[in-house]
Amino acid sequence: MNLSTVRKSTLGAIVVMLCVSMVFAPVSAELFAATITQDATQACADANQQATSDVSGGTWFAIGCLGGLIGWLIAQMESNPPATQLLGKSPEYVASYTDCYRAKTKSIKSKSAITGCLVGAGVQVVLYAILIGSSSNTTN
Amino acid sequence: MTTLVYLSNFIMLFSLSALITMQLSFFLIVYIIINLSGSIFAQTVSMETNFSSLSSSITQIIQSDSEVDTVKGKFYFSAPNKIFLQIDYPLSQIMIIDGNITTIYYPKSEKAFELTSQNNVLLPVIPGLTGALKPDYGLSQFGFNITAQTFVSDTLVSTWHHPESGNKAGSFTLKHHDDLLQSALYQAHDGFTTIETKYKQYKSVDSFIFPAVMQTKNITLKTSRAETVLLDDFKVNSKFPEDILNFQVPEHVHIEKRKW
Repeated sequence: MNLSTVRKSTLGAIVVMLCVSMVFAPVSAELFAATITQDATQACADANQQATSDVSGGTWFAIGCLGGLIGWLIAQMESNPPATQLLGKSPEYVASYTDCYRAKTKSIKSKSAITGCLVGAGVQVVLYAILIGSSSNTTN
Repeated sequence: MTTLVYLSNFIMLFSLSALITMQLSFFLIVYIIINLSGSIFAQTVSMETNFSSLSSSITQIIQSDSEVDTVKGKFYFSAPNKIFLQIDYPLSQIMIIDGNITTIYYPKSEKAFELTSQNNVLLPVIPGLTGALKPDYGLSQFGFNITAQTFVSDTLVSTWHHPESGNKAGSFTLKHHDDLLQSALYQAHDGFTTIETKYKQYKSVDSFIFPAVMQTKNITLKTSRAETVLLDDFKVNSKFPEDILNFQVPEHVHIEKRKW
């Protein structure tokens, strides 16, 4: 094997390495990142769907309506989703699912309870207005 | 005149304090109900098994609106409320549920989660399996009673309702053939939600008969989901391998702690 053949093969190896590091490695890294993002997006969609079917907005509206601000505070309590949803799922999916499920259940409960709380408060204000009105009429 | 103003102020203050007391009592009642119902359910799920341990290989196929997911592995259940799931496909995963703590460990990527929930976590597979072993599907312990039963050909069809909650708790329809549960259908009071599980291919293991196939269809107003669980190689009341019994997440692995 002469020197030029060695040079040529070394150059060839360098070109191959450059191609791999500059083209294929970034592409595979991007593909990997895209898979993780897709996993997380899917997890969030699944978690939101599960949370919507697990939490009853009507119940939390009634709790907010009857319990007022305290009802809204109860709404901050956490739920227990089934563990089967996380079987065979990646760490990224588990992380995203738990975050999204927790956020979604809290959001549904809080929104419903705060609406109930406001409706309840409105009813109370009306009742007090009637009470004040009737007492001022009595004093006059 | 002044007396009347004092009187009206007194009435207002009195009604305000009454309202606050009412709200506080309401909070207490709701808090007690939420916590108590969770613990009662966890107790009833855990104490109704006639075996101390159960293991089996498991294949779970979940079909939702858009996709099909298959999971394969093995589970080791230890009564009353602990399960060890070793998943081999589609990835390597270990899930341990013990009471209200779920630990998930990925041996290849060396990642781990510890999920803490308020109440005991409902175990996968076990409630369905134990339900099939009971003549009443375990409904009596939740307060359900038979309201109708009839034979259709050689299948006994029974309908169950919860007398105290009226229709709000929904109804169950059980179908038995040769004393073996063939299907359990739950219909919610909303008229849209139904969950039906079909039990097939019963296998005798010691003095127990377990269904090797459980097919569940869950239909709500917005979603539909079908789940098939295939079980094989049942072992009842046998000692689990040491690495399962004494499993700990390796010390060098960081465990990400989360709350549901």
